[in-house]
Amino acid sequence: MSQKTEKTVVSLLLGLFALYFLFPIYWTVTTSVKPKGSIIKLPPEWFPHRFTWSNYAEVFTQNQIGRVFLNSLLVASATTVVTVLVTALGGYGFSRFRFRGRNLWIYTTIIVRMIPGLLLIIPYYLMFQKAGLLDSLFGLVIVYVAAAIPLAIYLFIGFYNEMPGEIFESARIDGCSEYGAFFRIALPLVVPGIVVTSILVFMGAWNEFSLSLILTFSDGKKLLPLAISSLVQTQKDTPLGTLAAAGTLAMLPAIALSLTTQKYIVEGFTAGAVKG
Amino acid sequence: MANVERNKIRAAWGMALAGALVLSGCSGGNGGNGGNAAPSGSASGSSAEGGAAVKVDGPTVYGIKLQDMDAGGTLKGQYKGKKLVVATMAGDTEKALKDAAKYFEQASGATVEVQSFPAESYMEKIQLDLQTNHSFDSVVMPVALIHGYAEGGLVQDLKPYIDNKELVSPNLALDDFIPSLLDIYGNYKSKLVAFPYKPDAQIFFYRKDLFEDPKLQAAFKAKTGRDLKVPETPEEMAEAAAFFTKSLNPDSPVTYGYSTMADNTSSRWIWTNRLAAFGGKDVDKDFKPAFNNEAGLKALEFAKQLTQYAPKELLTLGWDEANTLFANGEAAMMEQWPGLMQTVEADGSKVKGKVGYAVTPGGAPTMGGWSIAMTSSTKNADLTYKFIEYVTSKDLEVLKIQDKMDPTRTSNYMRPELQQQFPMYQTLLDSLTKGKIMADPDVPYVSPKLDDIMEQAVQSVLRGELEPQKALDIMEKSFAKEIEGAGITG
Repeated sequence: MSQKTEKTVVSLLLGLFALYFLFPIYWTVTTSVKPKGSIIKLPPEWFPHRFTWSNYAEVFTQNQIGRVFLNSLLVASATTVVTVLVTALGGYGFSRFRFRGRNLWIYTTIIVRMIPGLLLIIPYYLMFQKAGLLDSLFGLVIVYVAAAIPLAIYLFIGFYNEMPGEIFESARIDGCSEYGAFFRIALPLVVPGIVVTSILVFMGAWNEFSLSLILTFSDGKKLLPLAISSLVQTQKDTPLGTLAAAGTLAMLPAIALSLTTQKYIVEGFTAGAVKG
Repeated sequence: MANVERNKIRAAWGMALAGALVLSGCSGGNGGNGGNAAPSGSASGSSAEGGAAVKVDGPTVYGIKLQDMDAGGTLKGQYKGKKLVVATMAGDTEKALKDAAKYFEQASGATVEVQSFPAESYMEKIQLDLQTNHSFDSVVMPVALIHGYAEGGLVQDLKPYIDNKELVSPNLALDDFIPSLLDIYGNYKSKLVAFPYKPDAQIFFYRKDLFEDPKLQAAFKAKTGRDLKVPETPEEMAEAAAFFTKSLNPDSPVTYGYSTMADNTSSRWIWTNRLAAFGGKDVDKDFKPAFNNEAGLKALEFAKQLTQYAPKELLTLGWDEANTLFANGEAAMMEQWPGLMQTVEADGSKVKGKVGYAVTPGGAPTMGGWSIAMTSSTKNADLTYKFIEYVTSKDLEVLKIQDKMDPTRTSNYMRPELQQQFPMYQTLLDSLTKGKIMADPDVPYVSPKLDDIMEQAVQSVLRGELEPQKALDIMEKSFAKEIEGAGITG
């Protein structure tokens, strides 16, 4: 196969993949601005003929999406900050120091990730019931942090392992303490890793559904996935325009994060554990 | 595929719930029906304390000024400081409850929190709370589930509260509920465990413009020797469906004679819509399968016959797809829940203003429905009863129509304002009165499993993979196994 043909085939395949992944987003966004009568039609309306913002108005006025959005933002942000703080330090410790039982602790931490989340829901529920943490955003942050720590630790170990040991030795010779080496040497170098981990943890918390379904009750504590899922009706008309508008709003943080941190994402994914 | 995924999720939830029961020491409310919190027996601290009723100005809805906003004078702000939690599915039911709760709060002084959960998972969530956390005072759920909770002692008998003269509203009028609804939705093993909240019945929708077209009437007469009329019997329905099916009659103005939603969550209703009409039942009063007989066979054979007149993709049609197909003018007749009317009358519908409605041919439509019950673990029993009574009262029922919740009381169907606004109400009332079989078999605990068994069998017949009699044999055996396995007796 000539280089030109190969390029064409690769471009074609990439185009197909892009279409496959982007079409649902296109459909969601265009559905969100279609009037009700244009949403379910045979044949489908591939390009909106008329635009309306009424679906967005409905999502804000009738479904209190603003409050739900803020709840999700609060929980996902808190989860990200706490997880990154804990695991940036934890990963550094596991990577830099050799101590008794090190591997056991690493595997014990990571193995938690291998337990199906569904199995943990009921124990969480019962523990939260006893602790009075049901229906609280603080409780959700606790479980989300617990769920995110294994992956984040694993990522950070990989990022720190990529750093040559010599720079830490030089820092020690220059009089740097272990904390100094962490804050002055390791942390600035691991910024791409922090960004990637933050994005993964944030999106994990942002999209989480099952735990928030079981552990929260009231409208005031609802998160976005739960609120969006609540719009889906069975054996009756689902407000598809409203659903699409809520879905579009829910996509915004992911899109914003991807666009603003693209440089770090590339660096992060090509360094550390995630590069395979 | 979606249904398989859903079933997997449900199975996983089932396991999780079983785990919860083990971990929580099987704390099932107060255990058995004996755990009911007794009504206060007097008005003290709960209802009429001799004070004046709180004046709540009722809204005007559909031209009706709502008057009974204080439950016949029994709500006097006496529940001030108390809180009530009501659980249900997110959506219309939630909105209806919240709308009514505003007025109840003014009249009773209590605070009402309506907690709602997504349609895909509300059952598991509510059941988990009923069995472990006990935070709900009242639940609004499909009838079969409420009866399951009644069997497990998770909801309580309302009769003691109704018998409490100092508590009950003078306007309660139990006999105003459509009798079949109060009986089927409310009663379970001689106890009144719920009030009907949202009625549902399969309706027969047909293209009025086609049935009233003189040319088509003449063509039908020439072809069959009979007058073209809205079918009342299965035979008439089959004949009209054949006439309007283009593959059988190239002159038909529509492609299909019949349509419905028949994906693997709803195909059983094609069968149950005729089962009672032919004299059958899904289960008898002792929870034994009661369909493997001539009635069941005829109904299943008829369901199979209807597929000749239906779209090829019938078995993949869900709510949206089936309704869109009908609104697009592709079919002459359709059996569906009443909500189809909103789709056909919406802007963009090709059949707007052209659709009529009647009781399903055979005269025994499948019934759905939701009811409202009081949990056994409530600590505010009198208050909860008053809320249940309030939201199902004659006037407050009018309020919930705005949220697509049809009335359950006969008197509301008789209101001229509503008859004028909702021409389908007479048909709905007739259908609700004549309905005998529930959309989900009314068997505690295993109702969703029985749904799946029926779906598999009916789908196999409609796909031509199983003979109707063989499918009935399999269904009967599987029903008996599930019901016996759950230890349920009449």
